[in-house]
Amino acid sequence: MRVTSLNLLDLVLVVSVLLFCVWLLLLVLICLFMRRATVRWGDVYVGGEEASSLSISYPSTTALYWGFTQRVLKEVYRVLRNAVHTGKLSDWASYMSLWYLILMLIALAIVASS
Amino acid sequence: MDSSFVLYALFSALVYPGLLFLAFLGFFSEWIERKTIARAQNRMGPSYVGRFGLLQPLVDFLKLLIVKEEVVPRGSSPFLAKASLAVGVASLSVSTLLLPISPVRFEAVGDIVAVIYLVIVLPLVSLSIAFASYPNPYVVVGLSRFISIAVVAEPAFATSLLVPCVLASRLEGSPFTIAAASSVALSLLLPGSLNLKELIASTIMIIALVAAIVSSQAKLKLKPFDVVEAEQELIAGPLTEMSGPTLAFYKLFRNMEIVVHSLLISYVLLGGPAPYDQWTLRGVLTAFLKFLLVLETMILIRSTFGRVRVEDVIIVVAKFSLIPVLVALVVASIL
Repeated sequence: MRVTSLNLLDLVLVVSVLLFCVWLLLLVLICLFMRRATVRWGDVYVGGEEASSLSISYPSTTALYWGFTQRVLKEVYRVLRNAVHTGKLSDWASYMSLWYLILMLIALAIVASS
Repeated sequence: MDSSFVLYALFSALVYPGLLFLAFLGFFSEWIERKTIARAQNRMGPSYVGRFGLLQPLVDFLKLLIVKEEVVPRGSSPFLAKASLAVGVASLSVSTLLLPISPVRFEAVGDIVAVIYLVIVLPLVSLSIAFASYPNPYVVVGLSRFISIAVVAEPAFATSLLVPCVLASRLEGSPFTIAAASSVALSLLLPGSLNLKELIASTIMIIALVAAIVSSQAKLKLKPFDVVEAEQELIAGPLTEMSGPTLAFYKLFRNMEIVVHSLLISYVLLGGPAPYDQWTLRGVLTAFLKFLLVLETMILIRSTFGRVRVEDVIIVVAKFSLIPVLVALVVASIL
């Protein structure tokens, strides 16, 4: 067994040179085998379908409208319904008062600024 | 260094304990893995090619390399994948020259840094480039998971390798080298006397050993940490588009990675041939048995546990590997 003591920098240098030699040899072997291997080029597929199924790259206007209505407006409606339709009159009164207060503040701000 | 020594070093890097030896040990470890998992699942496993099916992994590799056609999706670069996998294979081959297993060994104070560079950093980068050479939604998800897990598992593995080196230099006054850590690892793990300092050192070594095995399991994408290539969810994750010679190269790389990790753990944390000398029959047998023990432990964990989610991988590796081994390293450095 032969042990060669080096400093760390030299060690990294030596192993890097050896690594490069092994890599070069592997690269030559890869090139040789790649020449022999049969290669078939294929298209990218998405969920089992051809990539051409994604030819419409943007959604239609109708889909956007229904998407917005179903996802965003439905959520807004749900929040409003939960806030107002609790079955308690006081909840409804406080909700409406809050809205009136906000509207009043906006009106006052506009009047003051003009 | 004279020219004969350079040739001898090149021979070591290419044949023993480098490329060829690692490749064949990799095929052997794949055979053990497949046989163990098959027995756990009440199957026979490889049985027909060679005695006990020993040559099956080699034949599978050659079939992928020579016979199978390579299907390449448009927009991907199989040559880049192969070239970057070759960097990983080369770095793993060269890393064995720093272990006491090598007849031509290079040594330096702090050589563990070079091992971390060769076993952790370069394979990580080469594997990431190889995966990214095949742009595909599954590959991208697999790659992002691979990098997320690497952020926790790689530092944990590196730290667990540092612990015995620090302990050896603090307690035994040895130089900060892998060989010195390996020579005292067994005596640190199983102390002769029961004084407090040695008991603490032994506990630290056990923590480092467990942390190394857990983090290796995550690094090597073995169950329960194989969410990177979760078949039911991502088909094969980063390997989805690999086929033919590229897949053969990946399998070779993966086998070699498992071998190098098992060798590192068995040498740095279990002492390799200790208590015998490296170049005696009993030393070689002891080192081989320890290598098998580590390998079999990882395979048994792989065949026992089910897959966990990616965030759970990070939590488990942090809880059972990274945090304990960081604490162990701090305690080892003030011991």
